[in-house]
Amino acid sequence: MNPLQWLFSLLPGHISCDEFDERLDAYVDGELSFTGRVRMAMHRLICTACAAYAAAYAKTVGLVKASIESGNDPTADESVSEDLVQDILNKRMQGGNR
Amino acid sequence: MDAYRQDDETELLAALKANEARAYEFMVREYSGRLLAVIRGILRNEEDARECLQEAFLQAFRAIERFEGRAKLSSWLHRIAVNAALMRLRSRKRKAEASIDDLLPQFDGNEGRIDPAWQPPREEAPPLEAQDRKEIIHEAIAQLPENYRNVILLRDIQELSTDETAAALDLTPGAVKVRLHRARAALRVLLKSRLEDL
Repeated sequence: MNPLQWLFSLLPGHISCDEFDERLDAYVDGELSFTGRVRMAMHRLICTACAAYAAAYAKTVGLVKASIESGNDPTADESVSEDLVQDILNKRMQGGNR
Repeated sequence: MDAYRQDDETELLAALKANEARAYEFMVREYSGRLLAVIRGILRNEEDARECLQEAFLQAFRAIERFEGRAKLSSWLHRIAVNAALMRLRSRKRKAEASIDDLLPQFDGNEGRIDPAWQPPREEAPPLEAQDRKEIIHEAIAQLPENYRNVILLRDIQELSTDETAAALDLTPGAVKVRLHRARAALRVLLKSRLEDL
C-alpha cells in the first residue's frame, strides 16, 4: 500500500484492492448500486494497478462476449444439408443415444 | 415438421426421454442449423464443423436422460456444441487444459494488489485480423478447465443470469460468481500475453 492509498484508506467508504477485486464482476456487469459504483470509481482514482486491471478485465469480458455467436444471430448462415441431418439421425439409430 | 411447441418444451423433452424417433428428428432439424452456424464461427472449416455437429448431437443424445430442463433445450444444446467445438480446437492446437491458479490476481498482506514489476517483452508483430483475434480468444477459452468454461459460456456467451446459470449447472449462485470471476481473471492473463492492446 502506497502512502496515498493509506491516506484514502482512512476515508469513509474506502475499499481495499481485495474488496475492489471481489466487486469487479458486479461492476463490469453493471450490477452495482450507485454508491457501489462511486466506491469503485474512487478506488480506481487512487490505485493505478487496480485501474489498469479493471480496464483490461472489462475489455477481456467484452472480447469473450463478442467472440462466440450466441446462436441467435439472424444473419448467420444456418443452412444444413439433408445428408448431414440423416447422418446424425443414422448415428443415433446405430446406438449413439444409449 | 412442426410437431412440438417451442414455448413449452415439456412435451418434446418427455418424448426425447421416451426415445421417440420423431422427437429426435424434430430436435435435429430444429436446432442443427443454428448450432452449425455457431460451430462454423469457432472452427472456420466446413468439414470439421459438420463432424463436430455430429459429435455434439451424439453427446446430447447420450446425456438427454440426465437433462432436467432447468435451462432451455436450445441453451443446453448450444453449450454442448460450443464445448465440442472448443475441444476440437484444443486438440488441433494440442493445448492441455491448465490449472488457473497461477493466472489469478495476487494481493499483499494489506489487501493491496501486487502488480508484477516485470513483464516479458513483447515482440513487434503485425496487427491481428479480427478472425485471428477470435481464434486466439477461442483457444484461451478452450484452455480453461471445463467447470470454469461452462460458467463463461452460460454467463458471458448465452448471457444467462447468475441464478439461471446456477440452476443449469446445479451450483449455488455464490459458486457461479466465484467461478466466473476466476475464469475471467484467468482469461485476462491468457489473452494479455497474445493480444497487444490488452
